[in-house]
Amino acid sequence: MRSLLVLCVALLPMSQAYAQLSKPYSSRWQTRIVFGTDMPIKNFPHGNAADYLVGYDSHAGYLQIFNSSLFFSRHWGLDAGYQIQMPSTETESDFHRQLETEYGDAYYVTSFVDGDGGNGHQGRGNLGLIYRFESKRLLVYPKFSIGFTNFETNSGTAYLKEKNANTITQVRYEAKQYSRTPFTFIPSVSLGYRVRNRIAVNVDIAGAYFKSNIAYTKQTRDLYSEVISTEKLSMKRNALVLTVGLGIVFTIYEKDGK
Amino acid sequence: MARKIVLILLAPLIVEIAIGCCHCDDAPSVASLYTYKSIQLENLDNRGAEPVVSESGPYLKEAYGLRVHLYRDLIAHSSGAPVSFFPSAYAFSCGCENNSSISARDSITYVHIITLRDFDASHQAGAEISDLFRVQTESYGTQELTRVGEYATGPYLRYASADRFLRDMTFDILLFAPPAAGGLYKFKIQFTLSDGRVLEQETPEIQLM
Repeated sequence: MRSLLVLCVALLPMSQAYAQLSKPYSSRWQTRIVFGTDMPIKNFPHGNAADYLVGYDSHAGYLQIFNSSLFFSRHWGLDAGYQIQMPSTETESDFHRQLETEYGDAYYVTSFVDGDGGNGHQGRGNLGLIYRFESKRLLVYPKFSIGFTNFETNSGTAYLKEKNANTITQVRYEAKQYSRTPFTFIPSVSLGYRVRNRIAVNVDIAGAYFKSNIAYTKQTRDLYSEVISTEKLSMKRNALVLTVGLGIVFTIYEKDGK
Repeated sequence: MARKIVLILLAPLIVEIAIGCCHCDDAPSVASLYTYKSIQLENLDNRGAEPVVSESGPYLKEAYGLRVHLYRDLIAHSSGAPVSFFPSAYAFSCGCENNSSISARDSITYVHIITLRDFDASHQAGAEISDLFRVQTESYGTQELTRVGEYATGPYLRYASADRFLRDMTFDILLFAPPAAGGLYKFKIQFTLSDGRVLEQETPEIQLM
């Protein structure tokens, strides 16, 4: 975040060459860098241990590493982008804490999450239409995009050692797919203030909604008797987040060919 | 002339480097050789998260176990280091594979756990009850229960036998099918070795409740 501010300060003097501001609606191709955060309006429920293996964080910070708008008319254009998100969940410890809640009265619990412990990748991509209102200084860009949200669905294992007994039970939560990429509806508005000819600072406000069917298999195995029972967990999950970001808009190409 | 003198002086060192680098042993060398010597048993109380040694009972029959100490003697040792005034640490690698291996002279072929008191309706005094016990093993977080015979004769102890620093070995045997009734019990464990010897140890009489 601090580095982006430093970048802003560094770029402003570079635009001294453009003494006059561009005319409204003259830009053809814009690109922007935005960083911000997601805020949950409707979050995934967390009712069982498998819920904590789903690596989606509705409080994730994000960095929009790519966002570009191409205007094909005075008002309309196409907008595409991708943001990497930084989930702050601690999947392994959250999973263990939930297992302790479920089984801790009767069992000593040890657990692990496969791979890197579940602190994996989360991202969101979008492609849609952008509409623009521009004055000499102010830029207002409502957008509607359809895209995807990508997050991991981790697998995990618990060992339940019964208190006052030798009995050990293995509980394995196996995700049907390693990751999920549900379609996401992303209405948004970008508000900008032009500070130099081709540079504007902006605030992005967006909503993102997706629905995902997540399937897990819960297998319970008594390690001595080898008796196995299997249960299918089908979790239909909806998420709605509000995202707020700050960034810089660069005009790459203008109408008159500049 | 001076170059020739320098070359002659350096010749032994160059030869030593060549020998040090590229002499690879084809045949595996045995660095250490062990033999199983004796065993010792301790009673375990496994009511908590981990089994702990408990000298005095009574023991909860659902949480009872035995800790087995296998003691071994080192009967041969070979460092295998060649005599050289050129330290191999300074030599270039010639890609020789490490063929050295460490093994025990004898191995465990059978393990029997025998009850010395009537255990239940189907196991009278003198009956083998090995199948009622398991060894708990863990590898990279994955836990399993292994049959005692399989553990003692399988790769678990064989790999442990190849550890030159692990002179003695300890593992826990836990009772998973306890008797229906509490009372006094006594167990014996026998390790039959590949050279025909039998190492055995009895527990004291214990109270299971």
